[in-house]
Amino acid sequence: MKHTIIVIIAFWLAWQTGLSQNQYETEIPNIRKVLIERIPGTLLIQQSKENIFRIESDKEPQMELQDERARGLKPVTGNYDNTGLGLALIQSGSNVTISGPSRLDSDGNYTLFLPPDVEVSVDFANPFSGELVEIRGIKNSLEVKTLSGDIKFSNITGPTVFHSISGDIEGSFSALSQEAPSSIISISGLIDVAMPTNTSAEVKLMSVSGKIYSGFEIEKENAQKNKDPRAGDLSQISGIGQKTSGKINGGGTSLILQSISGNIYFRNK
Amino acid sequence: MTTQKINTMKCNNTQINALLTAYLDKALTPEETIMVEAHLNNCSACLHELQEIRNIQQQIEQTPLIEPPEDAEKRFRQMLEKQSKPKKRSITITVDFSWKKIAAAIIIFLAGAATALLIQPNTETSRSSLASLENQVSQMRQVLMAALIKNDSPSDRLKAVQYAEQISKPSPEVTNILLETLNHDPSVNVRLAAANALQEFAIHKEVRTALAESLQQQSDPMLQIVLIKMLVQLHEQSVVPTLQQFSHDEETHEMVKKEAEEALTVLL
Repeated sequence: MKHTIIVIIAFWLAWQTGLSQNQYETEIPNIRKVLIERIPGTLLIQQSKENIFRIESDKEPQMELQDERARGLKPVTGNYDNTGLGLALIQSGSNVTISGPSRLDSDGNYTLFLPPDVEVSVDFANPFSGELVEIRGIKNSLEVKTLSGDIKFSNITGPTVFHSISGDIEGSFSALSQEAPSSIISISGLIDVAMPTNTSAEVKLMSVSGKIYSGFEIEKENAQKNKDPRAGDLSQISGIGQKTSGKINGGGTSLILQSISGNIYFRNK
Repeated sequence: MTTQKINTMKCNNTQINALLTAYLDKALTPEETIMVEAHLNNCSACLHELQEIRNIQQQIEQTPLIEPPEDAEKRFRQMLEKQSKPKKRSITITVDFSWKKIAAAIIIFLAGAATALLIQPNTETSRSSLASLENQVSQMRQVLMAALIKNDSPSDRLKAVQYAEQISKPSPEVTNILLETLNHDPSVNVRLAAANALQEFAIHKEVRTALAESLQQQSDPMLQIVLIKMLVQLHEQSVVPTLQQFSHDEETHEMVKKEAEEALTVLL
């Protein structure tokens, strides 16, 4: 019996060290917004407890060669790293900025645990950024910009402002915030968004060459005022690209899903 | 979670709350106005309340005044006489608090007050006051929009663009703010919303020219395509050189190139 326990503890310790992630945790009260930029790898954002900021990474930070002469001085240029993970976490007023080095090698995996009701803004619009931004359970305004990185999300409420050039945007809302409009745009990636069946919104779905699918009944708006006198009573079938706009569940906040060549899947769940 | 609840459910800033009606009536000192606007900027609960107060004011304005029947006064007096006659004979003084009668009295009083009001102002002034109220609402939207558009949250800026769309008879200021947003907002999503909002103002030639100029500056393919489609619909010829440039430029997104070429066949 004793032996088994010792063996189990030994295995557990080995497993822990094997997994050992580099961690950084700090407590900052009254933060309204978190700005994230230049993360050298993929990014997962999850809920932490109130006021707690935790960063986990599977990547060993590279130690820069110490300059004996610089002892006691702070670096003015180069990377500022106060987390020990190659990232800088800086508070200014009610904002926190988490940023990485300007030269990136995007092969790490980073998990940020943020207080559940902060606004989050992620800027991955940099060719060296990681290939994925995933957000789980943050119930406030979210902004994500990527070039080729995918955007995934679950259990969020928005309002969301997502933009990707060639990444896929995919995930589900737990509810749609009626506070402000939400907008999701991908140029050549697909958009696949699920919302609760009782979501009310004023939706605008548009794709230039992609197809649009919807699980919601979209109540079409009354025929728009025709600006072309020749059209008379004829209803306009296409305006700008393939466009469908109307209300779901009686209408509410404005929700925009737009793509150029990617398909749009608008699901109810 | 808790702060969000407070935001959406109720704002406990009673001081601001008390000032909202006065704010609508423009009865505040400049300092108070700035304070209220600063708060409205951050508090959707109060913004919502402000809208509700405005709605109620509008509803009151719009409710037609009811004219009382002509013989109302006569009948009221008759009823009073009937009521008072037997009382004079009785020794005990009892006041009859029948609800129906009190209600009738109140209704008749209100009707009387309404007729008095009807005699004084003619309908024209009330119509003009409604118009001025509408004007005020538009002005308020404009103020809110101008404040929100400077916000660092892109969804707030989207909201600002939405306000701009709702303003009846927008001023050149509104159009300028929208054009500024279209050309310089850091978020493509907000720029795109601004482009769509500006389509409504495209009857003005300056707006069309500005949209054509903006196309040169835009780097996002989505915005480029939306602007090209819009300008083709508006038959804006000044965009032709930009389109030609797009169709020759190697760096242009394939879909944009196709769109530009199609647009050129329509415009030329």
